[in-house]
Amino acid sequence: MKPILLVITNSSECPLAIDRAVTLCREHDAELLVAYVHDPQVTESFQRLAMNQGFLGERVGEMVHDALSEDERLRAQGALLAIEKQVTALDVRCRSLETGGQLASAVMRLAFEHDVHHVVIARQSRSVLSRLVFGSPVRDLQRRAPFPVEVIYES
Amino acid sequence: MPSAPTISSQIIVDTRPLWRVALARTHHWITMLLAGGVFLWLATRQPFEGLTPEGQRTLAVFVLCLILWVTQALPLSVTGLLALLLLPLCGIMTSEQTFALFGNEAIFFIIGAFIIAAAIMHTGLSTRVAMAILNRIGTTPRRLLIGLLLLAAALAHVMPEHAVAAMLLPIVIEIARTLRLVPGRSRMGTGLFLALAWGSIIGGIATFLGGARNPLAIEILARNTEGQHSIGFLEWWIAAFPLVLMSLGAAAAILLLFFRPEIESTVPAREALQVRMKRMGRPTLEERLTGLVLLLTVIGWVLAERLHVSVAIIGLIGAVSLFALRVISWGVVERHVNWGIVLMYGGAIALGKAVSQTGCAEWIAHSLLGESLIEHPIATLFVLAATALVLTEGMSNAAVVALLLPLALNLAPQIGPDGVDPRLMVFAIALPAGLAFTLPISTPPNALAHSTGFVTMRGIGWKGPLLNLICLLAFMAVAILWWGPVLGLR
Repeated sequence: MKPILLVITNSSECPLAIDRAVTLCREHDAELLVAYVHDPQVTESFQRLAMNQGFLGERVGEMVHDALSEDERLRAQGALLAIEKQVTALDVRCRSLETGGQLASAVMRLAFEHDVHHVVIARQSRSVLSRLVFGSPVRDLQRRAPFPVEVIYES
Repeated sequence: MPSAPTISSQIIVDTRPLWRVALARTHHWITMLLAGGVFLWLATRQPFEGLTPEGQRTLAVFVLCLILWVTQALPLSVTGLLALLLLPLCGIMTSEQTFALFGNEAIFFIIGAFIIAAAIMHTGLSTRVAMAILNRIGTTPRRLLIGLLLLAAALAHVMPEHAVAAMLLPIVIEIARTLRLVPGRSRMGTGLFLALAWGSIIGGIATFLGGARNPLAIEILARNTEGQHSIGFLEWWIAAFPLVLMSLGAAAAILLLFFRPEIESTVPAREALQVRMKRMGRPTLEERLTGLVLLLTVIGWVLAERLHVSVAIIGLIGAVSLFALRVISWGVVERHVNWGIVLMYGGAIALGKAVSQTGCAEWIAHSLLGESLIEHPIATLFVLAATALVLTEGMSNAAVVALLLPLALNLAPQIGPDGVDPRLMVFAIALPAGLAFTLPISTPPNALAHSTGFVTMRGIGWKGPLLNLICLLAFMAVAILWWGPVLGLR
């Protein structure tokens, strides 16, 4: 059976999405792929803003960028390890992946690469204004993906 | 499932709504066209009543810079450069006069201060001091939160607030990670990064070093009063410190009330700090020398008036000493400092002088405030401070000083029955202009805090504006109870 892809990001924890992905894996006797997608767009735009307005040099920018990237890498590893442990304890085969880029593109790339059956993704609560201005990568993924994308509302 | 080899990692899917994408791709051109159109209309039309032709053209340059500084359609420094070239082109000043304004004391003070700050960061002195203090005082979550706020404020007394926030950010990120604080969920996490940003911002108003807008304000004061008035390093600190204390108190109260730590212990964070401190080893010779140079330079700045030496000269002596002692090289300084600041501030000072000498500042101030308000000194002070506070949330705080201070200085002799001390106007604009607590676009410490994911607009909510409001009231209290009766500024 084709694997199920669970997508996590740095925005928050997603216990409901994990539960749903495990249920799907059991139903279809499928492997679970857990993918951590690092979307640097927002972080980098804030960083650029700080550097330009503060007239801070490139070394300072590198320092901030390195600290944020390292933090994200360690958090991703921690989150993936915890989910892998949790899922393996439930007798479901599990593999973790890390990737970067805009959420919709990255998920579609992974889904095609690994020939997944179904994508499960968590959606966090955001303000209407934020969705209006920044858009919704999850909705965009749903609209574009030729495979099922199940969105789990975590909050 | 369909195979889709066409999906490549090179393809970027823009997830924003179509109108937002269209706006993002065209807003630069729309802004430039709008700014250019407004400039041409103002520069070529008949002067407004009460304005000379030079004043009218200066108004055109002023409005153009205002639009470009607010929208940042051009980099801040390029707008400064644009002001420098438009003033002679529009016949407002000769090119000799304009470029002479560029070589001023504030610019050289900023150059000296930024070189010293680069050395403090490059040698690791600031990181060592920060970690040692946090390790010592951060014994409980509350103490860690408040300790970070005070530490950032203290460091911003001797380093630019932006550099303080950037230097502390990696340390606070590590603290948050070791304490297992989750972005978007942890009150303590949000509180820590707000403490970092708010502490740096509040500390930044205390001295000339915290924010380069402060020496910029002094230079605009000197230029607009033909050198009759100035404010010394110590005098500034004495005037600003009560506001700093009250603002820190308000920030601490908001952090403890609304971002109450949900964790019990800071032991993992302190252990991580101790590991990092051990890894740093003993203080190097470069760190010690930098500390010594910094100490002597600050003493020099405090005594500058008594010694009859310019603060810029003292700053440059400190900077040159660091090169002579081989603590830093020019390559290091270049990688730590973005020299665009010099262009922006040079342009801002020239624009301020032009706005003032052509009568444009007086005309704008009277048009905006009205005669009846100007009769009341307290009300005028409140309106000026509130305007600076509101504007600084949406634009660079140096730009707020560059645009508002010349107007305020021109009003000073006309406020109330006898006029007010122009130095009051400097404080009324420069201090609130540094106090932006909410939006990431307002000031680099806020942008850095937002970049971590712990601080969001929803997370800050009304707490940022609340702190703004308390600071505005504190500003008025300090103006009435401290600057007048104690410092003799009337």
